[in-house]
Amino acid sequence: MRAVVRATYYIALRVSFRRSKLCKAARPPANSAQPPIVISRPEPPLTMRTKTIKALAVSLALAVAPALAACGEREPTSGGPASITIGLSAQPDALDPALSYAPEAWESLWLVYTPLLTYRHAEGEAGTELIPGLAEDLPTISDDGKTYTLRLREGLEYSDGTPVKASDFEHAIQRVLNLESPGTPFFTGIVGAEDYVERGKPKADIEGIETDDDTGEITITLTKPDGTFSNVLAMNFAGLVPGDTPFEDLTKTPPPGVGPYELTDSEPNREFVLERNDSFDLPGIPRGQIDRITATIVKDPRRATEDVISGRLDYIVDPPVPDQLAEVRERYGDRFKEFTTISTYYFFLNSRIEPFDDPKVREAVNYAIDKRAIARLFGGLMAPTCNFFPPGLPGYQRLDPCPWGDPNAAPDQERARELIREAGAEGAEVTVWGNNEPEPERVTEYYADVLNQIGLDAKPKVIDSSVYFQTVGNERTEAQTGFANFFQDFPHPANFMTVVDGDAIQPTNNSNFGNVDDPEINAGIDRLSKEPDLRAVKDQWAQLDRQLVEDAWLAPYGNRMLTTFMSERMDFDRCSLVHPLYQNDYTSFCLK
Amino acid sequence: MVRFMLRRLLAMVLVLLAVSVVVFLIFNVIPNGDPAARMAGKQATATQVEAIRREWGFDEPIWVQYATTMRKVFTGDLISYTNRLDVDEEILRGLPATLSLAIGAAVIWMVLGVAFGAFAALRAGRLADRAISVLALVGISVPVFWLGALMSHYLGFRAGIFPSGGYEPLTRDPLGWAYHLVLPWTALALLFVGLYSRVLRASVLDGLRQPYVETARAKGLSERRVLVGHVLKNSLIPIVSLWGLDFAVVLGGGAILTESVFDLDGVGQFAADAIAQLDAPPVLAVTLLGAFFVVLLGAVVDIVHAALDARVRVT
Repeated sequence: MRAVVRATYYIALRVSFRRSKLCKAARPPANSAQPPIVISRPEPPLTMRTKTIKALAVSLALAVAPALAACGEREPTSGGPASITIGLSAQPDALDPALSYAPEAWESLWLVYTPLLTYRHAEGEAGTELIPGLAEDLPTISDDGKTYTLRLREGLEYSDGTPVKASDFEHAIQRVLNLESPGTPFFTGIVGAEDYVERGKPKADIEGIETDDDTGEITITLTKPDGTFSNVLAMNFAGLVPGDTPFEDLTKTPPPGVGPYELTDSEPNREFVLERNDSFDLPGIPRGQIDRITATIVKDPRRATEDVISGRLDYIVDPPVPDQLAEVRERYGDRFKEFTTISTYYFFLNSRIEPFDDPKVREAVNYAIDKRAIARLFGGLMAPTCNFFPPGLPGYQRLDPCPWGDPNAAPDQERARELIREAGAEGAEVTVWGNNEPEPERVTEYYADVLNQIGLDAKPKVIDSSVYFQTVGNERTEAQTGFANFFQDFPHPANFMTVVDGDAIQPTNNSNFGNVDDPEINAGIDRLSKEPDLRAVKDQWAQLDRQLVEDAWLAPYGNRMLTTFMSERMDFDRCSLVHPLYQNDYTSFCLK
Repeated sequence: MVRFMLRRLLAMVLVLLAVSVVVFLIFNVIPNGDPAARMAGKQATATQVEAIRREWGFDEPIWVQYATTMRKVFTGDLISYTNRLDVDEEILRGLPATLSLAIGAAVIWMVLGVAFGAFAALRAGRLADRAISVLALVGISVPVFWLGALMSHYLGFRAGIFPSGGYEPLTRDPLGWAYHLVLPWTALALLFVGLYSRVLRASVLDGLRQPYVETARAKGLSERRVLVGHVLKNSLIPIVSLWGLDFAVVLGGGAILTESVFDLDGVGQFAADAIAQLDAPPVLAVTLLGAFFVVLLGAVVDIVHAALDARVRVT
C-alpha cells in the first residue's frame, strides 16, 4: 500500500511539474511531423510520510490526471474539415440580423445575411466601396433622390434551400421596425415607416416599399432625399431572411440567410457556430476558407489572450487588456497587429451652457489636452488626431497644420490659460462627465485635471456605462462637458455628422451631447446628405470637418485602435484581412 | 415540526416579497434608468421610445409592472432587457456551475476549517497554533479576486497544471469537471477556512473551560471522547450556523468574484453581467434565488442546531 501511495505521490509531482512542457512538446506546430520531446529529470528523493501528504498526493494525482489527456484536445489541422475556435468577451446583443447592433456580432452576421447591397471585402478605403449584394446592381435613384429601385438577382436561395423573393426585403424591414430594433431610426425615412411603428401590427404594409416577386423588383420611396440610403441598405439590419421568419428574437435559432457562412448552432452565453455555406456563390463576395468557426464566449479578456497564446483559441475579437499588450506585442508580434478603426473619441463641449458657450473656452480645451497622454491611457490603442472625421472615412482630409497644434506633440497649456483669462472663466465650475468603463474613467479624470490646470474648477462625475449616454443625452442633465465617442454605422460622413447636427437635437436620447448648432454646418449637412454620389462632394464634407474643428465645437483627440491576435496555427501573414467597417474578415482566415 | 415548517414557509414568502419589492423599486428610481430609452438605441425618436414603452408595459402603473414582472418570474416568461434572453433559462443554465462551485468549496472549507480550528485549539499558544493563526489571517485578508487571478495565471496559464478557467459539465466529463474546479474551489474555500478555523478555535477553547468537560473527565472518559463527543460537538454550533448562511449566499450567486475570475459562467457571473448593464429582470431573479437559499438553509441550520444542542427544540 505504501508503495502505491509513494508511486502516486511521485507521479503527481512529476506530472504537475512538467505538464506545461509535456503539453508543449506533445503539441507540435501546425503540420509538424516532429515527435514529442520528453524532458527527463532526476527523481527527487521521497521522504515525506505523513497521512496528510499522502492524502494530498492522491488528490493531486486525481486532479492532474486529466491534464495530460487535455494536451491532445485540439483537432488536427490537416486531413478533414478546417475548424477554428474564436473568442468573444460577451454574448452579442443578438444573433438576429433585425436586432443586432454590436460590432462583435456584425463581424459574423455580415457573412451570413447579405443585404441587397454590401461592401467590397478589402482593406482601407477600397473596403468602403458599395457593391451589389443580393441585388443585381447598385440602385437606380430617381432625380428627386427619393426613390430607390433595385432588382434581386435570379435563382438565389437561402442556406436551407428556400428561394429568395423580393418581398422578403419588406419582411426584413418589418421585423426591424416591429421588434423595436435599435436599427429602427435608420429606416424611419421610408414612407409609411413611422405609421408602421405606431400601429405595432407586424403584417401591416409599409407604404414606401413595393416589391414584385415575379420580376424581383424592389422600389423604396423615402419621405425626403437621403444620400446615405444606399449605405443603410447595406446594413446588417437589411439582411434578407425568408418571408415566413417569425416576428421574434431568433438568437437561439437564427434564421437562414444568404452568405458565405450559415449560423448552424447558437447557445446564448456559451457559443455559436458558423459553417461554410457551400452553395453560396455571389460575384465580388469571397467564399470562406475555414469550414467551421466556433465562436465561444470567454468573458475574462485576460484568459482569452492566454488561450490564444497557448493555442486553445485561434483568434479573439477583443484586444488584450493593457497590461498584457506589451508582452503580446513583444513576444507574439508575428501573429498580432493593431489597426485603426473608423471611429472618433472626443470631449463634447455643451455650447448652450457656461462656460463652454464661449468659443474661447472651447478653444482653450482644444489647446490644453495632451492627445499623446490620452493614447497612453488606452494602452497605446488610440491614434491621436486633430480631425473629427477619422482616417479612412470618405471625406477625411488630414488637418495639417492642426489649428490647436500637432496632435502628436506637447499641448500649449499656456495659450489655453490665456484664453480662459480672456474669457473671464477662471474658477468657473465644471462637471466633467464620464462612464465607469476602465479607459473612459481614466480619461475623464485626466480631462478634469487638465481643466483645473488651465484655470477652471473641474470635478469628474463618473456614472455607470449602461446609463451614461442616455444621461448626458437628456437635456435635463445639463451636462457641460465629458467623454464621448462615435463608431461608424456605415462609412459615410453624414453618419458621423449626426452627433453635431443642430437639426437632430432632441430633449432625450440626444446624441448631439454638445448641442452643436451652427447654422452653416447644419445647412451643409442637410445639403450634402442629399447627394447620392459621395465622391462628388467629398471635399465639401472635408470642409465641414475643418469648420467643426476650427470653431472648436468639440475636442476630438483620437481614433480607437483594435487588434488582430491569432494562434500559431493560423496563417496570419496571408489570411488576416481587416475590413474598415466589419473589422476582421473571417472569409479571409485560413490555417497554415 | 409541522408548525416550524409552516412558520418558515411563511417567513420565506415574506422575505421574498420584501426583497422583490426593494429590488424592483431600486431599478425604478435609478436616474435615467428608463429601459425603453436604452432599448431604443442612439437618436431614437420619442415615437420609437413610446412604442417600446407600450409594447413592454413600461407605461403601466408601477404596481402593475411589479405584478407582471413577478408573474413572469414564476411562469418562466421573464426576459432580459438587454439581450432579450429568457432569464429563468439562463439561471438554470448557470446553476450547475454555481452548485458545483458552492458544494465543493463548502465541503473543503468546512472540513479544513474544523480540522485546523480544532488542531489550533489543542495546540493553543504553541508554534502550530501561531502558524495556523497566521495562515488563517492570510486566508481571510487575501481578496479572492487577487488570489484567484494569481492561481489562474501561474498554476493555470504559466505552469499549465490546471485549466486557467472555464467550466466543464459533470455529465459530460466527471474528471474534467473536477479538474476545472480545483482552483476555484481552493480560491473560494481559503477565505472561509481562515474564518472558520478562527471561530472554531475560540469556541473549542471556550468549551474546554466549561464545567461539563471537567465532569466528563471526572467520569473517566478518554481525552479523545471528551474532545470529540463533548467539546467539539458543542463548538460546532456557531460553525454550522455560519456554514448554512455562507453556503446559501454562495449558492444564490454570491460567489460573483470567484465565478468571474475563473470564468465559470454560473449564476453569480450572470448576475454580475446583469448588474453591469442595469438589466433589472436578471438581477431581480438572481436576488430572489439568493434570498430563497438563505431562508431555506436558515431553516436547515435551525434543525441541525437542535440536533447538536439538546437545549434547542424545533417548534
